[in-house]
Amino acid sequence: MKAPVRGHTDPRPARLRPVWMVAGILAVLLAAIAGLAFGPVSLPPGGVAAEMLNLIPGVHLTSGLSERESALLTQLRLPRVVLGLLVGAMLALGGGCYQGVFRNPLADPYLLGVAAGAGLGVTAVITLRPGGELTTLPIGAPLAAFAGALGAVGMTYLLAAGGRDRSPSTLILAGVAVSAFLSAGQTFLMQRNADAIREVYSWLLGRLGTAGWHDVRLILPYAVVTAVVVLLQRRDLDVLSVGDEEAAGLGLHPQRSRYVLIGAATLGTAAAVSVSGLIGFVGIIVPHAVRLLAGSSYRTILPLSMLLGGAFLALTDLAARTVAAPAEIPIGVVTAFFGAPFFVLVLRTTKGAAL
Amino acid sequence: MTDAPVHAVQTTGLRVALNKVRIIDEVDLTVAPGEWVTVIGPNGAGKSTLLRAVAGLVPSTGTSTLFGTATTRLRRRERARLVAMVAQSPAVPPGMGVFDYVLLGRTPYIPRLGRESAADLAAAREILDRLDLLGFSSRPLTTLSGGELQRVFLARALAQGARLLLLDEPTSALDIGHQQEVMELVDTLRRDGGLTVLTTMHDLSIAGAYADRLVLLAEGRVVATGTPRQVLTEALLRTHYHASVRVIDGEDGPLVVPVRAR
Repeated sequence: MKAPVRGHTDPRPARLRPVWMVAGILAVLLAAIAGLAFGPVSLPPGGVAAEMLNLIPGVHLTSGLSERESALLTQLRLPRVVLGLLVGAMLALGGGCYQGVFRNPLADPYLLGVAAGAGLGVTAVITLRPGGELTTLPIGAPLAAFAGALGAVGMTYLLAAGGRDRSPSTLILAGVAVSAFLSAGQTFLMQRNADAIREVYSWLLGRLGTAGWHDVRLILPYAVVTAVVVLLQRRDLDVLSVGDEEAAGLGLHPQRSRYVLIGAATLGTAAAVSVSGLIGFVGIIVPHAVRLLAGSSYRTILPLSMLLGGAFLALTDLAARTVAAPAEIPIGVVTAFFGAPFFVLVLRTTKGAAL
Repeated sequence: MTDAPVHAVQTTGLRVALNKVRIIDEVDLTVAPGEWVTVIGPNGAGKSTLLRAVAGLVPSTGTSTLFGTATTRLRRRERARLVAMVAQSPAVPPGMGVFDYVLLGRTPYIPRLGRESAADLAAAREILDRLDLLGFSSRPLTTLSGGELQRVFLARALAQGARLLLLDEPTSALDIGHQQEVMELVDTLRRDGGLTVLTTMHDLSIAGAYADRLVLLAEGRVVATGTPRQVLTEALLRTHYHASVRVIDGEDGPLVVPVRAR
């Protein structure tokens, strides 16, 4: 054996660097504080931070907030911010995961038809439930969304894989076709149940509920399952990047890994869609930004996308409810406003590289 | 039972059909440990498919063993520790660096859901050092030249720690100087590391210069096998390649020179 070579720094594997982990957590905290402090009634960020620390058992700080402000904070804003973090984390993680599984930089829950499938599922639950005013989202909504989303991603995958053309845009075109098909089904359901149109419509445009902690509790278990399953398998996504046959030669079961990862990403995305409606482009903006900033290994992209996706959506929600205050802009409108140009940018760079 | 020496590769009546088209038909192939066997044959003869079948990457019928164990009875990870394959044009994942790519070769040693151990990192570093690639460690694959890339592909295969190396057209994308460089490197690795090499090759003179034995495949069947001198004959090449060539005796084996048919 040769003596170790001097002059080179020892090569190190691509892992999530601690500095990025810290940056991601800071981004989440800052976005959370901003989301909690600002709104129609602004609260001092210092008081907000103190109030949050008071939620930790054993901590008693003086926040300087009145009882009403404190209630506004913990009963209205906090659940909304937490929901934003959860939904953003799931959409960004889902997007990053789909991009790896399909080896396609354009993959995104919205563009693959996953969101439309989940939407159809939720619409079915809302319209077909036995009458009565809809106050909170039915318990079955995330699961119905999951069923619809899984059907959608399955159809998109089969449509794209059946063709000879393996270019990234084929998958996206298949996703567009599937989305159109499922949206038609959704419109049909809405037409048949005209009294539910208002409810479905307000949900469709994307909103981070006014349902207090109910929605958070509803999707938290699914979000946890998704995060654990996807993050545990993140190395598989790097192995899959050499293609199925080579991955098999390296001892991986590519198809099995793919199904598990698609299932997990779809569960998280569907849960997010079931409470927040159709919020597009988060799954494409955030993972690509992470890729540019911190490297292209999925071991970096996935955990960081989760953190930054949460922060991104919490901030977007803040913009959505303050820009045109006292009115709220649907959050899906805001993400699409920034996301669509970003998508074009990714499309153009992809065309140069892969097609 | 006699103590027959265990072959690195042994196939009997191997058949492969893809989309109901028979690609490999009744192939009997043996490769002894430490041997270098090169499969030659015209385009579409089934050379690549034969390699993939030996590696267990395409379904086949007949029997196929790796170091005495039926390929189908090996678990994927066990198989990946025995045999490493470099495809004809491996995928180059955008954005991935050389070190991370070579580390992918350690996959069969990394527990499911786990990550690389210090031993895996050391193994990858040692291979990079041996192939003079340590200076490239942090370079993205997409910035490398063809010759450098081929060395990196080889490094990933070596990182698998396998005793059998399958190389599908390892020189097809290289100029003549880099072809020789890669072949010499493989030969050195074979001698120093006790590797067995099974490869496919288009350039017949280079094939003859490095292989212990050649296997001539045509339309999925083995039509000739033996030393380079036995296989690289004007008559066999005319019959199976429809080529008009002169075979000249060289220092390291026959030299195959194309001539115009008269």
